[in-house]
Amino acid sequence: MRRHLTPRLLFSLLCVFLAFLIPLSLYIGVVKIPLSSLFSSEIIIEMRAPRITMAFLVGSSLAVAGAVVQGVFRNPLAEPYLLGISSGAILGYSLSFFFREELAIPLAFLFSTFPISLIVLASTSKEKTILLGISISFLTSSMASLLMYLSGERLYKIFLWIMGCFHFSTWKQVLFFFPVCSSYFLLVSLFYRELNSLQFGDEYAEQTGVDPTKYRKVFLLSSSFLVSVSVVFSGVIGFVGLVVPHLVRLLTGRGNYKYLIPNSILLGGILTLLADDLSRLVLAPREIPVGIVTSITGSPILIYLLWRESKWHF
Amino acid sequence: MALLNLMGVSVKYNSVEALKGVSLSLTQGEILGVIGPNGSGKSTLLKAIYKALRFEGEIKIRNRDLLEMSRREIAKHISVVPQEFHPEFPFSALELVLTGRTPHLSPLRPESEKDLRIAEESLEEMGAIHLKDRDLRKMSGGERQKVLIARALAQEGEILLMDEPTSHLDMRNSIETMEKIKEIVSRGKGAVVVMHDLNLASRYCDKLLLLKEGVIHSMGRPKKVITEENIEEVYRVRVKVFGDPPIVVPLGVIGDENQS
Repeated sequence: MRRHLTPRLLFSLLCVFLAFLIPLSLYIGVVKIPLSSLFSSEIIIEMRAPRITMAFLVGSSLAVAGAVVQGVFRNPLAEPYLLGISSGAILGYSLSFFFREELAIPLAFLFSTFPISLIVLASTSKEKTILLGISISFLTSSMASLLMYLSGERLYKIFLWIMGCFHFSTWKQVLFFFPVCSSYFLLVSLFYRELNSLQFGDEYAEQTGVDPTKYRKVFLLSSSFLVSVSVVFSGVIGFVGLVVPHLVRLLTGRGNYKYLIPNSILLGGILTLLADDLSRLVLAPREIPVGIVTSITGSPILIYLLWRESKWHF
Repeated sequence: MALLNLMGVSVKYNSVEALKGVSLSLTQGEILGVIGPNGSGKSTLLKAIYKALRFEGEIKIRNRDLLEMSRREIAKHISVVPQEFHPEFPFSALELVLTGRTPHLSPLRPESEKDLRIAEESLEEMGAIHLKDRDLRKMSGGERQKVLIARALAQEGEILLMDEPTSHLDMRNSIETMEKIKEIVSRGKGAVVVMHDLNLASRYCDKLLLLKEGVIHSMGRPKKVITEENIEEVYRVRVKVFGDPPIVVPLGVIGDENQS
C-alpha cells in the first residue's frame, strides 16, 4: 500500500519550506542586493516584497478556487482556467479599456460568471463541462485580443499581463487583494462540510441536509469573484488550480475539504512563488511571464490526468 | 404516533407520471418494504419523501408539513441510504460517516468528540469499524453499502429510507443487514426499504407496498400482498407462493398471449 503524509505533517513541511522560500525569493533578482540590507533596500520593500506577496496570495487563491470548483462540478479536471472563468474575466477587463479603469473588477467579475452559468445550465457530463469551458475560453479570449488590438494600449505590457505576471504588483494591490482572498478562504473553510457533501453529488448533498442549488451558487459566485480579481491584478495563470488540489490529494490520500483547503493555500502559494522566481531567473535580465512557466509545467500534468481518467472509464 | 404520512402523493417527470396518488403511513418500530418491477416508481417514492423531487399531494413528518421544513431539518429526521454511490476523490469510511453529522452542525459549531464517537459507534454497529481508514474507492460494493448504512445511523434520523440496501450483498451479508435494520427499527425508528428480493422482503418487513406503474397495487401484511395472483399480475411471471411469511418460488415468465 502506498504511504501518505498526514495532512498535518504536509502542512508543517510546507510552512518550513515557505520560511526558507520567502527570503530566497526576496534575494533573487536582476539587481543584486547585499544580504545585510535585505530588509532595508527600497527595491526589496517597494518592488520585490509586494511582488512575492501577490504571487503567494494569487497562487493560493487559484489553488483553493480550483479545489472548490472540482468538488462543486464533481469533476477532477475542473479549474478556473479550463472552465473559462479566467478568460471571461480577461474579456471584461479589456472592455474596461474603453470605459473607465475603475470598472475593471466589476466588468471582469460580470464576464467571468457567464461561462460558469452556461456550464451549470448546459453541461450534462464531465467531458462536456471541460469542452464547453475550453470553447468559451477560446471565444472570450479572442474577443479580448481583438479589443486589446483596437485599444492601442502598449501591446508588450498587455501581452506580459495576459500571460500572467507579477511584475506590476504593488502594496496597493496587496491591500485590496488580501481581504478579498482571506474572506474567501474563511468562507470555504467554514463551509467545508457542505463542500464534502456536494462532491458526492446533488442527491447526496440533499440527504445530508445541504441545499445543492444554494451552495453551488455561493461557491461558484465567490470563486468567480476571487479569480476575476486575481486576473485583473496578475493576468491568467493557468493550471495552478488544477494541479495543486490533485497534488494535495495524492500526497495525503484524502479528499476531505477540511484538510484540502489549508494545504492548497500553502502549496498553491509556494508553487506560484517558485514559478515566479523561475520566471525572473531563467532568461535574466529578461523576465518571462509566470503564466508560461505554469502552463509549460502544468499541461503535461493535465494530459497525464486525462489519460488516467480515460483508462479508468474505458 | 405516525412518523410519516403520505396523502395522495404524485410525481411527474416532464409530463410522465412516475407516481400516482400514493398514500401511506409509517409508525415507530415498523419496516415498510416497497416492492415492484423496475420502473414502477420505487426510488421515486423514496426521493419524494426526502424532498429531492417536486411532488403533488401532502407529506407529513411527525405531523409537520414537509414543504415547510428546511433541508437541514428534514435531514435531522430522515436518514437515506442511497443505491448508487461513486466517489470521485479519496475519502475514508470514517470521514464519510461523519458527513452524516452535517445537519447537526453549523459553520460555527465544528465537529466535536461526540460526533466522532457517534460516527465510530455507527461503523462498529455495522461491523465495519475495520474499514474506517480505508479509501471508499477501493472498497467492494458490499463494504461500501455497510459504510453508507453507518452514515445513515450517524445521522440519527428516526425515519430510514433505504434503496435496495442488500443489492450488493451475498446471502449471509443480506440477512445480517436485514437483522440489523430490524434491530435498529425496534429502538423507536421506522424504515421504508425498497427491495428486489421478495423472500427477504416477506421475511423482514412488517408491511409491504406493491407498486405497479406508479400506483399502489396492494399494501398490507406480506401474506396479503405476496400472492400468486398479485405477483403474476404485476411482474408478469409465474410463481409458486406458500407459507407465512410467504416464500416465492419463480417458475417462469408469462409470454405475450400471441406467442404462447
